[in-house]
Amino acid sequence: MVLENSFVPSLYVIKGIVILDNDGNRILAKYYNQSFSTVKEQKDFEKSLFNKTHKGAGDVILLDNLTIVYRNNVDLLFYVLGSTNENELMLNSVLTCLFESLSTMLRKNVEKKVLCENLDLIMLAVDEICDEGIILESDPMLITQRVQLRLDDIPLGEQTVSQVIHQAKEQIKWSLLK
Amino acid sequence: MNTTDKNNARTLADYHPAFKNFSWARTFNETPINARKCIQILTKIIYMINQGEQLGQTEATEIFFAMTKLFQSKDMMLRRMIYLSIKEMSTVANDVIIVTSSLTRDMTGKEDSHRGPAMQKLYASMMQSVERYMKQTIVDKLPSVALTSSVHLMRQSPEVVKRWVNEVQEAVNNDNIMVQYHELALLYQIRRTDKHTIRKLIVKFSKTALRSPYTFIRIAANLINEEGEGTDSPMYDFIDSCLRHKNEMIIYEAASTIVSLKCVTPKELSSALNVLQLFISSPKPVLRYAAVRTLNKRYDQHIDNRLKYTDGFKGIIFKALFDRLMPDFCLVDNYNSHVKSLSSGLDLEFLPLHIVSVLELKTKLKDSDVGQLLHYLRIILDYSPSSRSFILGAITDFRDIRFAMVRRSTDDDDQFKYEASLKDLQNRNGYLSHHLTMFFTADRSKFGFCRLEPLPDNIRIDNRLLGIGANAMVFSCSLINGQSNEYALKISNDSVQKEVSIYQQLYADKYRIVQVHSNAFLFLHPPGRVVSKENILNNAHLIWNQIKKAHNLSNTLREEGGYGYKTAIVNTIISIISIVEENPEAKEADCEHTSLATSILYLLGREGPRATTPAKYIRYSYNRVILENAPVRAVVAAVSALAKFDDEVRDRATLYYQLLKHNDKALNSAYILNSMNVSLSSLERLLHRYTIEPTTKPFDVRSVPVEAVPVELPKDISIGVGLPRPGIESKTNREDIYDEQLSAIPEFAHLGPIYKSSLPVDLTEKRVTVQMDGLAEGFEVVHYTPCQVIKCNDTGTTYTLVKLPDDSSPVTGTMKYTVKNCDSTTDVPDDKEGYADEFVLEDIEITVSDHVQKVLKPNWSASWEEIEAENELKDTYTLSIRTLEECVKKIINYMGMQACERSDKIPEGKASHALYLAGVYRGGHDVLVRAKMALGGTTVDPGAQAITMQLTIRSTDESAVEVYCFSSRINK
Repeated sequence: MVLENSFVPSLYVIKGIVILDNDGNRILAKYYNQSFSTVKEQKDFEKSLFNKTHKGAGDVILLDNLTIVYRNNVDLLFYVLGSTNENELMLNSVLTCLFESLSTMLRKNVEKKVLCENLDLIMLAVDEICDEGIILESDPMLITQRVQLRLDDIPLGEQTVSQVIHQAKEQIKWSLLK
Repeated sequence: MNTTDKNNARTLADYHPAFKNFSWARTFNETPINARKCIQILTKIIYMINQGEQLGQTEATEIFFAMTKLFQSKDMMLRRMIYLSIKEMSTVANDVIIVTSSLTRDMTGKEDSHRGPAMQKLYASMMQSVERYMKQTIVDKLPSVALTSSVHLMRQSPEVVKRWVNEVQEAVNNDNIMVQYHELALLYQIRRTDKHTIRKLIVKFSKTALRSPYTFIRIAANLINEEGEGTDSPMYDFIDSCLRHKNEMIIYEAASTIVSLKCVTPKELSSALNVLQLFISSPKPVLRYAAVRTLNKRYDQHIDNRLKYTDGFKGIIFKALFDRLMPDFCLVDNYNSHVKSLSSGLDLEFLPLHIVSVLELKTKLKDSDVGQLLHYLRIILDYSPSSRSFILGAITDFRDIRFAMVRRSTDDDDQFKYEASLKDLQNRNGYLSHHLTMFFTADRSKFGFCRLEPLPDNIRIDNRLLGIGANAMVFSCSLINGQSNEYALKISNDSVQKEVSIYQQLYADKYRIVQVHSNAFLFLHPPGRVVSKENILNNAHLIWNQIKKAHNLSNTLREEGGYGYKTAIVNTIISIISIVEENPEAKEADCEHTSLATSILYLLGREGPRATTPAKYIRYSYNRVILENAPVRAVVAAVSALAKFDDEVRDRATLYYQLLKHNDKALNSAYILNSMNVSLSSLERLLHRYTIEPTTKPFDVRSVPVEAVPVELPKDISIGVGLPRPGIESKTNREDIYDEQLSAIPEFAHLGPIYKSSLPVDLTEKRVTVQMDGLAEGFEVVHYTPCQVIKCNDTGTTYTLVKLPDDSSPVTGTMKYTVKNCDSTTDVPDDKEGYADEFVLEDIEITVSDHVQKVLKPNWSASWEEIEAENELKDTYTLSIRTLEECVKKIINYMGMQACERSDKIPEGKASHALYLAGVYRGGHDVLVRAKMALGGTTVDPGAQAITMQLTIRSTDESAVEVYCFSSRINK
């Protein structure tokens, strides 16, 4: 395993990414490096984490020997977990990246309902940001690009009517502008 | 395909209703593939797994197989979701090889966006066979993914990855920051053992401005520490250069790395510290947090781990620190002043940090300790933001307190200049420093809880510090007479008037802001949010813990220093208890309370005999015995406490124990509430004599003189309770002195012990001793001992025994003596015969007060009821005395009895009063007198004010009542 020494440079920065709703229920939780071996431990941890953080507007706390940066938005709580000797700013940049990219993808409607409707996007974004604890990318723009496919890529037959009309409008607009 | 495994009871349909309505398998098998539906299903599957549900192995494998079909779809979104599902399920399903082959096909394909993710997923399933593709991808357009996959692979098969070194190195040239980041880390992992290469790499990269030096900072630091290099090494230069990087994250990483390096000198440290100090004042909470944590680490290292910070970052930090306050070194700072205090909800944001206090407890103060303290202060000031100009500290061993202050200023060259001072403090920072240090270092009598004298008396500061602000501290405090009693008190070293007005506007709805001092104000919670009992007990426990710790420490000392300690400990506990008692709510039966009391009693038992005033603690324990609401437990505890005092006390404890066991009210009142008020020393003397004389008669307690009532002392106001009350024990009884003298005369021996001696009466001028031998009417002189010789300037004693008459009249005495002249040098009388002379002495009056002893009955009315009206006499008098005060005084003097229940004090403006007197008449009979008096009687002289008095006398002896009544009538 990776040594937990602050001096040993390691790419395994992130111990977990968690998204909870405002009742403390898990929407998405990814734990890396076996920080918690059982699901029960994970849920217990989330519970205490939620109790500690749900009132705050967003900050950083220490819990169970983990540095946790978190952000509170409408009815959602975003957490990024790291070891205590980890660079807090790095964790924060990951959190910011996660939040910003979700915000872009969900068109600024970062709330539970919209998030659940686009759970696939969220999963992909988390996957793009972090791979088994290694930060893959911290630029929200790049993440959004990688996750969100251009609409034109979707075959016409599988698009909804409104999508087609929207696309048509765009094309007309561009042709007029030219 | 829709078959479910019977062995695995749980299927997707169990988890989600959506799986019941349509078969995922059918959807997967549709042609053409409906990408949207498939994505939905896959999302749901992943969500299930994420929620912690376990998929059956068979089912997972089935889905796996079905998914291979979906690869036919060109839909990118779907493809991505497939990858994700594979990753999630690869641990569950069998035969992942099927999917792997699909993935390999994707990887070798032309579509870039497919290749990356495909690669990423692959390592999770099968690695060795795809080595070839890996290499290719690293040098390709998407090296990041390949690199991280390689890092993962390093864990399993490092030798495989090592073969890719060349490819990895090429990736450095990639424009993407993240690629550089991953690449450097991987490179380091591969070359880890080869330090020389690593060093070469760092030197090489530090020259070409590296865009992502993050990993290298740690690598470099690692090298420095492992090789024991100094700060002159190129590695350090590299880290130092990162302090000037434009990215905050890199700056912080460099700064924190420097701070944690062992070899750094304070000078070199300063640049890193400056950066961190800058971060502390940043608006970003994460930045502040990071900086503070790093600084804390530094404190810990620097002061030998004696400085402790808690991990609980919010608010609680202070409490935790205070918990440790007593035996150890402690540092208080307010790095979390930007956070709202959890306990009070007060916004401390307004208060930037300025004051740091250090307290160290020593067993014995030495000068070098003070030097050490100054050193600490200086170090802390080093790490403080430049806006902090001074720092205070205190050090104590419970006898002395030394204050120290270090001030920082900038000189002409903008260099910091430090001034340390020990004496300056009192004058310069007068108010705050004094009280701040007082709070931390409370003296022996006020240990634990302490009042700030200049503040109103009813404010008591708890030992809970809520925060430190700009030249101010916020404490939790309570109002003693208030209805609700937990508040926050802010003490500042400036006038708070302005602040009060600001807060009044800000918090008008939440708190009432009351200025209680020019430098202090209170936040009052609105009524209904009372936290009293719990809070107090909570604090009591806190202190109790501290004391226990301190006690453990002092046990190991067994020297002078430990003594003050123990006194302080016991005093504190008593203060705590009295505080708890004061709080009416705390009087409820409370398990915590009782256990606390019990443990304190136990401590008393241990510490009491060694304390200055054991009597005080005996008294205290015995109070507990009476008052405690869980009597049995308390009795056990109290008795065990008492038993540890000396023998006398053990006997007493046994007595009380027996009495309490009987649970008889009368017994209790006779022996405990109105304790046996005999003079202990006389009792001892008499008992001694009794045991020597062979006699069968039982010993009569009544023959023992009653203990003199101590003069009421002005109450000492301090809450500390260490002072011995100048008392009864130290004073030798007048009876004892005379008894000693009289028992030396054989003629008086048959008379038995003295009952009472009246105050000396001057018969002539002072310093002349007389003999009384004259016969007076009604008096029968039984015996007199003449005094043989009285030399010039000398004294002699003569005794006269007189039988008491039936009525009282003055005794007239004449002194007869022979004067002889003496030779002034030899002291031998020159004449054989001198001349006889006589001297008429002043009359001695024996009044009723000479027959009675003053006795204080703490519970007068109970005694009054006890005696009952059996021997009661009533009479009404009119006295020509102007005021009630005068009347009371005269009656007390005349009766020679003790006023009980404070009835000698008359409330102002009252027209009537009742006086209660108690005494023991000769023969050991209790006499109680109730005198009811009212203004406005009529006398013979119509102009004069008069008082009407109704006198009721009760006694256990009939004659006593009669004597009293009779004498009263005469003296009307």
